Amino acid sequence: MQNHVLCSTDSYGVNKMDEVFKDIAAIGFKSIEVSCSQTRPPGIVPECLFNFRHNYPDSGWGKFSLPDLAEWLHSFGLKAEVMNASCELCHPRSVEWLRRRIDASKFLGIDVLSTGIGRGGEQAEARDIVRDNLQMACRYAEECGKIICVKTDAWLAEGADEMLRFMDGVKSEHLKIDFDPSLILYHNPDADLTNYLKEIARLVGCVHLRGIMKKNGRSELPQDGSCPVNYRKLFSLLNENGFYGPFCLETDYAYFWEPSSAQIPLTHGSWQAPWAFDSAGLRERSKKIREFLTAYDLQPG
Amino acid sequence: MKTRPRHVFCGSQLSYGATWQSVAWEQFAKAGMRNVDVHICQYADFALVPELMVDEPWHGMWQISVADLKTLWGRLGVAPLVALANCDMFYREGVDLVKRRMDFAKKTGIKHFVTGPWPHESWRGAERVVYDHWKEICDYAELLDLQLSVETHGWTMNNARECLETIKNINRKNFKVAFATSDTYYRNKGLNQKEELKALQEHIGAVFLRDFRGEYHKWNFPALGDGIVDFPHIFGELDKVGFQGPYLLVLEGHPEVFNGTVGQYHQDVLKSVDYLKRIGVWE
Repeated sequence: MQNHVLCSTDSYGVNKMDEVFKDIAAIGFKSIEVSCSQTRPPGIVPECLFNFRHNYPDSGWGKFSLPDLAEWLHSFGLKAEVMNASCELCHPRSVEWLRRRIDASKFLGIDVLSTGIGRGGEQAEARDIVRDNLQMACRYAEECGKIICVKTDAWLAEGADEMLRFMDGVKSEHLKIDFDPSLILYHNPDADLTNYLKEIARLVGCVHLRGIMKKNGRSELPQDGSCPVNYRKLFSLLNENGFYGPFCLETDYAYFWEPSSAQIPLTHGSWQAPWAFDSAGLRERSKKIREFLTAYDLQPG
Repeated sequence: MKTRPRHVFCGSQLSYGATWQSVAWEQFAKAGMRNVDVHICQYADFALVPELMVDEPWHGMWQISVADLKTLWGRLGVAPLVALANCDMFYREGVDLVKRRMDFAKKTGIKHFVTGPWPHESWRGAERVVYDHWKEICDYAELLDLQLSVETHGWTMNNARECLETIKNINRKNFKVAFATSDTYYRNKGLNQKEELKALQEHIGAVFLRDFRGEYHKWNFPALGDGIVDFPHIFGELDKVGFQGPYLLVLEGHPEVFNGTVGQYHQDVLKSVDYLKRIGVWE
């Protein structure tokens, strides 16, 4: 059985979405992860999208409607399969935000949603809050037949024991783990990824492949052997446990919390230009994705 | 002698292309523009999303925290004066989106709420739906003590004739027009701007200062003074009816800055501010 690798739209930084979709399709992907994160405003915002067909002229895509968005994706030969539904899980309103993302996933035909912990996870009481919020959200996911994957983020990066304790606390078959080695190493540089994965492999619902997250917020997908993440070992361990995907390729962490004019032109485009909008960045990221696939003998899925 | 009103200006982040709002605010502060707008449209890259925002401080994340947003404005030395909140209010869901954005404006202390209909030509014949929705939006604005202005944004607000028809049908005193100085030419053919302004001047709640050159429906909005709009006349006429503003600087770009840098957009802003000083309206 082949590993199912898909591409995350977050791989392309802040960019024009139709150019991103074209590039992803040109690489050979059929499936993507869409970004509906609370904290990445340039992504898709379900709260602002209607649930009915809208077809606003000149919008270029389903800017106002989830059904139009699904159709727009299909026009590129793509289907959304995973949703980055990251919300601030330490906040009581996170259940509301996650529910809205679950609703949106129905229109997009997505079954797997992933969320990080967000900010505030360093406080001890946050752990119970996050557990309770996810428990509530998972009840709704169960009603809707969806899976929520929690990222190996914040204190959950400390080790498999913490993660297993947390999963026991939530106690839902609709909660799985989004194994994200870059996040583990970001929080816990000395982590033993292999041991961590061995302990939790049976609970993995999706995996993020994004190398090492740098301090400036960018992640870099390394070539084989140049990274503390042993991807071959990772694939083999997961396959032994019957997991073949989805593996989400994400080559860039697009969002910067302190945007300033120093980042221009990365985050800049005109309202009416042909929207090359960081076309050099798009080409660079496209190249990285292709190189990674080749290095690990992976087929775009 | 009648004293000329002091004009209130406001920098619209639309003047810096598609970029982080904080970048536009930072640039306006450098240009000496203290008042700024906040983009909370239904769908626009980089628009804030009130539905995703919390009231309390949230780890300095101003994009999702009203309290942190206020701290950021204070740090940058700008004051939010106008909320720009175009939503598709033809639909009930769009009206609710507008109302949630009004709640956000109230929370942030913004007084002027500008929205637009995002018109859809296929809705012609269903104007009554739009009128009813505007009435509801007007009443909600009154409840929150917000000054509502609606963009000259096509269809029922395309020009003075359409606006007056809409105003008559809505029949609410607080329904005002956000008069975009370029739209007489960009969205219409063969209209006389002096006549348009005269017809609407009593109903204007905000002005979008946007110059225009070139052809009908061709995106070409240069720095103020570089196009065909007669700004001294506009200020003169609106001074006569005591309109003080807000006058929003909305420079939405022209071919020379398409895919340009923020620095290039900033030059247009500086040039426009300089122009407003030269014609004697920027005190």
